[in-house]
Amino acid sequence: MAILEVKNVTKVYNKRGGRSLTALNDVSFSVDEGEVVGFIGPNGAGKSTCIKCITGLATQTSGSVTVCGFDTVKEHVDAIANVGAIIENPDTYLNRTALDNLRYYASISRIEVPSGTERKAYINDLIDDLLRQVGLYDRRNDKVSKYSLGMKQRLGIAQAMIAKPKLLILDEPTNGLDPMGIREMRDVVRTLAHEQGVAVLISSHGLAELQQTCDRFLLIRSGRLIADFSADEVGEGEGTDLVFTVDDVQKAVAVVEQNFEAKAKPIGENRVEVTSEGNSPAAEINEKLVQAGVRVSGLYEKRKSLEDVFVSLTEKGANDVR
Amino acid sequence: MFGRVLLGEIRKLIRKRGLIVLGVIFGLAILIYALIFNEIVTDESGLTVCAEDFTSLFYSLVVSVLTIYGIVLAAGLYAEEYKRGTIKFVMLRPVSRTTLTTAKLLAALLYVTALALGVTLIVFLYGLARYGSSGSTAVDLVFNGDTPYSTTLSIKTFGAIGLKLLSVYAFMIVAFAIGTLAKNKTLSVVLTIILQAGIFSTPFMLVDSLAGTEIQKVLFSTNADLSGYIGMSASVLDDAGGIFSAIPKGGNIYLAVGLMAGYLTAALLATYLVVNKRDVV
Ligand SMILES: Nc1ncnc2c1ncn2[C@@H]1O[C@H](COP(=O)(O)OP(=O)(O)O)[C@@H](O)[C@H]1O
Ligand SMILES: [Mg+2]
Repeated sequence: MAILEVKNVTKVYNKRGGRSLTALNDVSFSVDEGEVVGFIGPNGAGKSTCIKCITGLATQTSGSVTVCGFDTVKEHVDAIANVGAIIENPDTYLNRTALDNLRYYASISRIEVPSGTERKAYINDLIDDLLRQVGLYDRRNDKVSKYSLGMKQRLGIAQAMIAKPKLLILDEPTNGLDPMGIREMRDVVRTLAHEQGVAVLISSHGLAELQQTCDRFLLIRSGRLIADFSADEVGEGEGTDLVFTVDDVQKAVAVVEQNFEAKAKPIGENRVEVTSEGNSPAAEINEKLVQAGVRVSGLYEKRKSLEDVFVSLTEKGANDVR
Repeated sequence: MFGRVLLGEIRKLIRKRGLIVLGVIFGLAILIYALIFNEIVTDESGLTVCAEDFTSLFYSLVVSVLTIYGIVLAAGLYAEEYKRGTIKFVMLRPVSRTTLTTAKLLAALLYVTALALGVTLIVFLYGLARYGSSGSTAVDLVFNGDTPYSTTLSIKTFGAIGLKLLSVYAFMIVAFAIGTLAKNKTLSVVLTIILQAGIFSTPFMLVDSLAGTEIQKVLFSTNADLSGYIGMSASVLDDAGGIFSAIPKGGNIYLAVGLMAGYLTAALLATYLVVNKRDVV
């Protein structure tokens, strides 16, 4: 089920001097329950603008956004009650402690307290759990002004998760996080999505860390969505990956490994993924398979690393005029 | 939910460092005042040594400090959150912007009220213990410049305190509006203090030269404090200059109330409208 639906959203900023800038141009996509979607594009592509429209911080010029079926403009409060987000900088109250900040956000959030449980105690436990989850529990009584950017980012993530949102939106959450922090964030996000069914949208201009986090990617450039593809379509990196659709997977694997210096791996019932150093000779493999009596009904070349996809796609769009 | 939003806003105000400064100023003022009150009361002063006059004189002195504190507080309610970016996490909560705006303003008004009444109560109780009450003494006042009426010193004292508090609210609302619209606390504080300084302040010659003219009666600063219109204080310069008259030339209480309602409604409407429509960037 689609938790987030963005339909034909266009956002025009009116700049000083009467000039206007189309920061988002007819963007449409959706994010399903339990899905982790990477929202990627170079700086100034329109990621934050899109996220502001989704969360109601900004209002789109045209188009519509719904969260759990609620229109973010007409039913803002009900829509946003299902969203947790960090947008650009994780600005919390610097003169207050992390604990204090979270208590404040909790107090004005819609938090469902199980019947028979006292609200205050429940929320205190919830906050303690969150602080442990983001690794700030030991520093919970320090003022945020003493925190590093990475710690502020973690507090921002805790803030976003406080009302157990159905849609979690993280705008460049890895800014300021060290590799360890990035990995922890990845684990948190994947657990939320895959175990609790939370829909997650993460934006980033850096791709390496997102590659292992997301199930799907959206590429945005100059305000336009230029690609939407699943993580399955992205390879592990070096070399080329070929995917053959065949009638006999076992036989195909054997044929490929006997005849070529390549690794063959069955995927599902009728596909074989062939990985080799350098270029895999698609035509020759195909020929050998057919000779061996394997019916090949499909063949596609898997994209390489996300980085490659990103570079090739953004270069392709380089001549776009905004 | 409104209650929790309001409580959150009150907590933000209580954490302000300025409160400590204000507390020290008020504390010292009370101390010094308690020592010199007897000297101030002379035959010409029109004051008597009693808890009521002790309180009203003190209040008329500290109300300007309270006004400026209220202005500084209200000017920053939104402006600071926009500047520091903290507004984003607040606006990501299931709280409408209208609710948030109302909660912010109400929190500041309640907070200043608590301060004003707290200080007044301390001073009044001290006065009561030391000088006793003359609250039931009859006093003759003039309503709207032409209708004499009789009341008690208690009502005059606390009525004037209440009306001065209303004038603090009025300036706070203006400061809130300017600060929010301009997203600039300092600008709002400066502009509102200029507005508040009104006709008596020599630095603002433009406004000074309006004293005694017909324009004076429509000014915000003339009408923010309504106590003059019901004879509870004399605060406006007369045509002749220097002689105090309770009411500006051509003015009356109905015009004053109507104008204030109009000014404040306009300020509030603009604030709500802009907060609701504006993108948070
Ligand atoms: N408030 C604003 N007013 C005018 N232009 C803006 C505003 N916010 C963003 N922009 C412009 O919109 C474009 C997209 O910005 P943004 O959404 O922040 O990109 P990203 O988050 O992908 O880096 C940029 O060209 C940026 O300069
Ligand atoms: Mg951005």
